[in-house]
Amino acid sequence: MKTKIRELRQKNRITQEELALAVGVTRQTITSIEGEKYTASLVLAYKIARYFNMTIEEVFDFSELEEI
Amino acid sequence: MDNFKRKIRSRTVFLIILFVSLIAIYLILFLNQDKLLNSSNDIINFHGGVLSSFGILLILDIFRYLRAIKDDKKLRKLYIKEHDERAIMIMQKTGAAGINICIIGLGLATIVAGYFNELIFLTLLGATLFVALIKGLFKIYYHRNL
Repeated sequence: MKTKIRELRQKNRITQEELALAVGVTRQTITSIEGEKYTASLVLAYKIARYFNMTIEEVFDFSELEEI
Repeated sequence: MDNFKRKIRSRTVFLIILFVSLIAIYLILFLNQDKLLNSSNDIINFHGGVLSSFGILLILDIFRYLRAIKDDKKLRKLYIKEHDERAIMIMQKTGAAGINICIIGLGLATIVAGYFNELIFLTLLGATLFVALIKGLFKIYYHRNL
């Protein structure tokens, strides 16, 4: 699933490690989500969106799912 | 995090008890070798190897937990490592695929062994059925509880 996490991190100058610690996952999980290899759970998506003060839809791109 | 700290503390105590028991079992077996059935050196060495490897792993875990109990940052990292959703998913997928491959492998080995040795055939059959039974029971359990 496409996300804006990398873009938001770079804009806010946050490392993967910092984001991972804040939302309670490992750095590898953030890397996988950014690389579109792993889709975050609803809880994790909510935590990430909240971390950036945004909604889930603003961070995660659900357009591919709407086609199914 | 306090709950997790308590959990780690009790886990450490359990591992220490396990480690002491392991040493005791090994010493009892080692000192009574002559009273046991005549085992080959390979089997005795294998037992020694398994027990000492298990002991080393226990010591490493005990030290890791003790460090985490003393340091809150390490405790949080340990919590994240144990509760990381991707790691949990990897473990579930590995377990599910691994057990299927084990059942198929054991089943094939059982068929082949049937042509050569009855004892090995029955042993492998028992192992195959046991693994399949465990998988089946877990499947029923999770279908009812999830």
